[in-house]
Amino acid sequence: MLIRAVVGLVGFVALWSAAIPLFGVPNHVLPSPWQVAQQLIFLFERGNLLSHIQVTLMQIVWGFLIGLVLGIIAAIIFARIPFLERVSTPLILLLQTAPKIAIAPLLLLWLGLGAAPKIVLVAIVTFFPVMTAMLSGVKYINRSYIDLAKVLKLNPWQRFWHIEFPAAIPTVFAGATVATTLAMTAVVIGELMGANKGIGFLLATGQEDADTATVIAMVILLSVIGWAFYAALDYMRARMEARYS
Amino acid sequence: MIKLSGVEKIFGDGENAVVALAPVDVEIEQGAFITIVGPSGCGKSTLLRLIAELDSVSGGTIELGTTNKKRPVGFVFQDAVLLPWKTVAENIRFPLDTSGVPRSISDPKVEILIDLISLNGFENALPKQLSGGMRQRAAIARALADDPPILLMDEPFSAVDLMTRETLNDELLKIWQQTGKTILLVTHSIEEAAYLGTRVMVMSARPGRLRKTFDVDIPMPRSEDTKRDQKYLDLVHELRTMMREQGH
Amino acid sequence: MIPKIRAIGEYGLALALMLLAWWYASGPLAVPPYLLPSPQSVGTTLWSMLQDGELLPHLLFTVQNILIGLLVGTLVGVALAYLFYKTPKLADVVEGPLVILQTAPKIALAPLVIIWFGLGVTAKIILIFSLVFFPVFAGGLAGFRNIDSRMHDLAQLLQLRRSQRFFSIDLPAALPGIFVGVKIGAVQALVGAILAEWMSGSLGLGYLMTFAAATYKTPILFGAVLLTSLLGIFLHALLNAVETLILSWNIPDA
Repeated sequence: MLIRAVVGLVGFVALWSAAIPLFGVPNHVLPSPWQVAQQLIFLFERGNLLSHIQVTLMQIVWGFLIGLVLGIIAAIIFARIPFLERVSTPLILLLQTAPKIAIAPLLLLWLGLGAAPKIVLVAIVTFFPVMTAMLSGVKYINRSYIDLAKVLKLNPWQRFWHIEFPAAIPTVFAGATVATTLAMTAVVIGELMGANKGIGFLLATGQEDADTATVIAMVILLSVIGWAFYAALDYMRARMEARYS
Repeated sequence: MIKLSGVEKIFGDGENAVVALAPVDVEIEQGAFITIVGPSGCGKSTLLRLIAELDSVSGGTIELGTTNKKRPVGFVFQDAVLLPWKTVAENIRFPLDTSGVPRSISDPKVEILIDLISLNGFENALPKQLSGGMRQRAAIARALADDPPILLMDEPFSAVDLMTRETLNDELLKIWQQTGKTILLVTHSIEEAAYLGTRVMVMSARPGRLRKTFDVDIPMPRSEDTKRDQKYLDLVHELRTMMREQGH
Repeated sequence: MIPKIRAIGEYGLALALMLLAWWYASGPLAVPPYLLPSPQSVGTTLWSMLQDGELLPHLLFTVQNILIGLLVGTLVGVALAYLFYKTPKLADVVEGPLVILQTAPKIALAPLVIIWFGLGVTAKIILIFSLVFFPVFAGGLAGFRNIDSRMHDLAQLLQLRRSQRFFSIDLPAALPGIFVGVKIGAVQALVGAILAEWMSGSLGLGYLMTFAAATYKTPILFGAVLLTSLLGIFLHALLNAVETLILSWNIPDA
């Protein structure tokens, strides 16, 4: 699969390079791959690109971790106190259905242009799939495990820590893997809507200057980060599943 | 008359070639009820798929001996394969709809078929609302819809419970007598093969081949009493002994 | 019917609770209005904008772009998925890069689309289209590839023509997969529409947000956020209704 992806990618770049002279596409509309690469190197050396990347990564990682932990905690609370889950289900479904991006302008209003609104936005979009996954993992656990807990006369907390929680972990990872793409989208939206640092900020300024090379370079950079982020979580998920089965 | 001459099927080629079906020669008279029994991997389903032209033969010829009908065979799969988005009536009508038969002709036909398979009252039900046995009845009706002279059935009752299976067996015999179709039915139940067939073909595995054919000398219509008939019991015994010899 | 009424009641209660919390924060808690305007002020602002005819053009612009983008994206996504399904060789070559694109934040294309297609409606629809296309394509391809092989046998037995086969077997069988994609695509479409309007142009709910944010008209900002959320919920409910209507055969009876 990876080899095919690489071959396909090389083919794509070759086509891109060939198309420019062939159709006489002007530079400012579509720069060649070579020019994009040059722009990337230029931004690294002169444009402090590394610090922008750091800012974006920091926002993703913190937001993701906060969303992950809060999602798991919320699911634990709901699983232990079914009454609370029943009461808050409509509210959660409502919030889940509403487009999370709509809240981005409010976060910018409340928290300014720095890292905070992006971290909160990433945490929010991560929270929901993780919580839902964890909750369904606990709820739809194999009945025999519950029977086992009863036979062993485990108390509710023992049952949770030794049986329900570990059983739900693969599902949580599946939810977290889904959340990676949402988190990437959230950070990009946050940075496009208002920022003074980060890859999305460079993307927005690139658009204002109609600097296609920078824009394309940043899109590629974000794609690579998004893919690596997803692949890392997917790898962990696969490892978890392999350990269990 | 269906005539198979040297029909064989080989999957793969060179060193990886697997003989799924060694050459088979057989003639089947019109209106016969042929049951085909054998262990897994004996090529019984392959044989059916070749006759239906779902797979192509590696060698030999198949003559169906039918007039140049567009669809000479009806086929019943192991688990119904009804289109889940169509109602029972729509599923049965599907072969007619797709060959451009107008509703004024197809609707009465469907009504008759629903009667035949006793699904009255379920015309507008979706497949998910039916039991396994009912789904299989609908599948039989669909196979009969555009009146093919030959009906091929690939382990049609293996997914339904035993009680339902016996009822369906009797109903199938009734349908066969009413319609005069030539039926080829694959099963791995020896009792079913003996009970239904006018002729039983026994196949064996590795490589898949036709081992022996038995003519069943038990009069129609058959019923519960048939199962106490000495001829039936002898046949079942003989078939079972033969299958045992193959190591199954 | 009773559970339905109860669900509506529960949602109503949830909404009322949120409204109450909002009112409490802006009233008794006295959060400054430039950070949190009161529900009443947002309500009156929205109402007067509606009466002046200022609101509707923005709302309709966003809705129109989403619907067009969703429709075209779905059609092209399904068509291409079918093409890929029918030509495995093509899939072999192009699927590798597509897998990588799958995880890329497609929303990052917004600036590029604006540079290429300008500040008008074209750029917005193209962006929405490209966001809708991917999930529908992926869902459709999975749907087509998961078709029970015996359904193909059936099509062959009945010697169906190409079009008969597509419309009576392949398409309905892939519909659940396609629908998964359309639902994801609809969320993406809304995100794309709002972001594109935020970044360029002078129409739409997204534009209303950035205009209000820049001029410190917080009640308008809140109103636009509220409408966007409602639009998202409405779109979700609409697709659910369509799903129960055309995919009831696929939903197991309880």
